[in-house]
Amino acid sequence: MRRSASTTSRFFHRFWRGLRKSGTGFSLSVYGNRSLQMARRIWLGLREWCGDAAYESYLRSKGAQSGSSRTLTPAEFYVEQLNRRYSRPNRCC
Amino acid sequence: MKRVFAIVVWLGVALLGAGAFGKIAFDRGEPLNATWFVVAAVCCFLVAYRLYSAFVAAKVLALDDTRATPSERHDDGRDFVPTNKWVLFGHHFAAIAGPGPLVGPTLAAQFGYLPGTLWLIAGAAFAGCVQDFVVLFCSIRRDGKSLGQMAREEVSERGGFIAQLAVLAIMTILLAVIGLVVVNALKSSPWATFTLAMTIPIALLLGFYLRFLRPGRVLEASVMGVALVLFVVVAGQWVADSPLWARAFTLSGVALAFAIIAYGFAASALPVWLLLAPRDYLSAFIKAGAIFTLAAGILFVRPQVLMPPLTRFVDGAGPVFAGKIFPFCFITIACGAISGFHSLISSGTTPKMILRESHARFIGYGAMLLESFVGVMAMVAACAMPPGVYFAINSPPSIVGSAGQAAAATISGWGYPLRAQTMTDLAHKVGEITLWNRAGGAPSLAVGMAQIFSTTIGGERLLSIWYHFAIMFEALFILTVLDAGTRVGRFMVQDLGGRVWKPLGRTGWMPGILMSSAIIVGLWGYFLYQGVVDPLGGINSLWPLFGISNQLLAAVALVVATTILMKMGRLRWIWVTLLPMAWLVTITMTASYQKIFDANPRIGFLSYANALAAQLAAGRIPADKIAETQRLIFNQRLDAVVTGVLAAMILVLIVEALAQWYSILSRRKEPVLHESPYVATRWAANYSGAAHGDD
Repeated sequence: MRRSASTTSRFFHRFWRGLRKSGTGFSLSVYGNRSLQMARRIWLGLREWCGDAAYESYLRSKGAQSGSSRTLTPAEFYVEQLNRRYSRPNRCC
Repeated sequence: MKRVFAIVVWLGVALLGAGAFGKIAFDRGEPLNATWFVVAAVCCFLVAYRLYSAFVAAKVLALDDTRATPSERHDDGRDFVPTNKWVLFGHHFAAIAGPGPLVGPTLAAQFGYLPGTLWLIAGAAFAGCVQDFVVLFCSIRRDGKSLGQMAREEVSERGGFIAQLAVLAIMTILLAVIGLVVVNALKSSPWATFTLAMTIPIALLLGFYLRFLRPGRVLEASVMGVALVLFVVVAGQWVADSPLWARAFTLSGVALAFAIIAYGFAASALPVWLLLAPRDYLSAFIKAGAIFTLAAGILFVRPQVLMPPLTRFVDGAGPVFAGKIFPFCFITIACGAISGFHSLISSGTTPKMILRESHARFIGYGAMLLESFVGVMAMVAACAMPPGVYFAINSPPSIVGSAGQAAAATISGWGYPLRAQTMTDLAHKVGEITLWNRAGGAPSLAVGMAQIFSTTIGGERLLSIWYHFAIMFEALFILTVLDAGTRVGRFMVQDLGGRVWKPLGRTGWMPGILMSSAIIVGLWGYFLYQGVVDPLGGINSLWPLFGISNQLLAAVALVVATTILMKMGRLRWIWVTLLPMAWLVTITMTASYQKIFDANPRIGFLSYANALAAQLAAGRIPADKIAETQRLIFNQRLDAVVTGVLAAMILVLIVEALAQWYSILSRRKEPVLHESPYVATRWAANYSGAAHGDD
C-alpha cells in the first residue's frame, strides 16, 4: 500500500520529466506544472475520500509507528475499520 | 482600497440575492425560470457563509488554531486521522446528505414553491448550519465525544438519557419512513425492482473482491461496481419487456415491505464487509455523481417552474399530507433546513478527523449549506413538472381515486388541469405501468430529474433510462441509510439489552446479534408495514412523525450547545443557538399537539381512530374489513402515543436545561465545562493533512 503511493508520485514525476524533455512547449513548464500538481492533489484527495488511502494513513499514524501494538495487515485493517465505522451513525437521513 | 473593493463585491452579491429572492417571492405572472432559485440560493448562502458563519466563528465560538485538535493529540490512524479539510468536507457531506433533502422538499411542494424555498434557505443559514457548526466545535473541544455524552456531562444525566432515547426513536421512525419511500418507488415497477435487486449481488461481489482479492482498494472496486449498476439500469428495460421476468419482479407494496425488512435483517446480521460496506461505496459514488449532474442539469436546462408560489393547499387540506404551512412545512422539510441527525455526524467521525478548529466553519457550516442547495434543487425539480402531474403522482387513492378519469377530474377540479391520457403517456414514456398514487416523493422527483436530464442528453428517447437511473439512485442510497441505520440500531439494542441480560451485550455472540437485529428490524418494520397498508398513504402519518422526531433531536443538540455557550461565558451571543432552539420547540410542540388532538381525522391520530371506531360501532364497516379497521385504529392510537412521548421528552429536556441555566445565571452553581485541556499544536501553519505531508 505504502509502495502504491510512492509509485503514484514516481509516475507523475517521470511523466512530468518526460514532458519537459520532449519540449512540449514553454507554457507547459509553467501551467503544466501547476496542472499536474493540482491533478495529483485531486487524485490523492479522491483516494483519501473514498477510503483507498486509509491503510497508508494508518501506517503513517503516530499510533502505528509507536510500536505499542502489532501493526495490522491490509486485510485486518480493512475489516477492523469497517466494523468500527458501521457501529455508530455514519449516514444521515 | 482592497477592503472597499471587497465591500462593494459583497454588497453586489447581497443585492443580487435580495433581487432574486424578491422575484421568487413577489412574482405572480408568467412561470418563473429556475435560474432565479439558483441565484437566490447561491447569493444568500455566500453572504451567510462570508458574514454570519465568520461572526459565529470569531465572536461566538472564538475558534483557536493554536490549539491541538483530537486528530493531532490521539493520531492512531483508525479513529483519529488528521485529514485534509477538502477531503473531510467530502466525507462530512457524504455522511449528512441522505434522502431527506430530496424527499422533504418534494413533499412540501404541495404548498407551492415559496414556503419550502424560503424555509430551506433561511432555515439552513440561521439554524441548520449553526447547529452543525456549533456541535462540531463542542465535540472537537471534547475529544470527539458524542451528543449523548455531551448532553450527559454538560446538561444532566437525564439530558443524556433523553438524547439516547431520541436517537433510538428517530432511528426507528426514519428507517420506517424511508423504507416506505422505497416501497412506493418500486411498487408495480419490474424495471426499478430488478435494478435495485441486482445491486445486492453486485455489492456481494464487491464485498468479496475488497475482502479477499484486493483488500481496501475501494476506488477500483467502486468503478467496477458503478459500471455494473449502470448496466443493470439499462438491462431493467429488457426485464420489463419480458412477460415472464416482468411478472417475477412486479411486487405489491406489502411484498416489497417484507423484502425490505428481510434485507435490513440480513444487512445487520451479516459481516459488514460482505454487503453493507460495498453497497455504501456504490451509493456514495452514485450519490455524488447524481447530485452534481442534477445541479449542472438545472443550470444548463434552466427549466420553468410551473408550480404556483402558493397552492390552495396552504389551508391544510393537502392531498400529499394534511396540515397547514405552520407547522407542517417546517416539519416536512427537516434535512435541507435543519436536521437533528446531523448532530450525530458532527459529534461522530468528523471531530476526530479535523485538522484545525478553524476548519469547523468550512466543514460544519459549509457542508450544510451545500446540502440545503441540494434541497433547493429538489424543490426546483419537483416544481418544474405541471402541478396536475405532481398531484397525480403524490396523492393517495383515498383522496383522488385510483381510476384515471375520475382522479384527473378531481385534480382538475382543484385548479390544476390534468388529462388522464397525460399520465398514461408519461408512464409509457418513463417505462412504468402507472404513475398514479405513488406518494413518497421519489417517483415525482425521478420524473422531474429525468425530464431535466433528458433535455440535456438523449431527449425523450432516453427519458425511461434517466427515470430509472433516478429511481435507482434514490432507492440505492435510501437502502444504504436503512442498512447502516439498522446496524447502528442493533448496537443500541445490544447496549441497552446488555444491561438487563449480559450475553445480549456481547457484540460478537451470534444469537445476540440475531436477536438484537430482529428487535430493531421488528420495530421499524412494524411502522413500515403500518404505512404500507394505511389507506391515507402512510406518508401522511409517518413523515410528520419522522419530522417531529428529527427536530426533537435538533432541539436536544441546540439545548446542549446553548448550555455550553452559557458555561463558556458567551451569554451575549447565546441567541445564536437559543433562537433556533425556541423556533424548533415551537414547531415541534405545535405539530405534536395537532397530530394528536386535531379534530380533522386526516391530521389528528386520535380523531381518525375515533372516526373509525364510530364507523365500526355503527356497523358501517363490511365484515371482511373489521379486523383491518381494528388494526388501523390501534396503529393510530400507537402513533398518538409515540408523538406524545416525543413531545414529553422535549418538555423534560427543556425543564432540565432551564434549571441548569437558572443555577448558572443566579451563580448558585459554578459552571463546569468538560473541555479537554489546552494543548498547543505542533503542526506548521500550512500543514494540510497526513496524505499531503509534503506541504
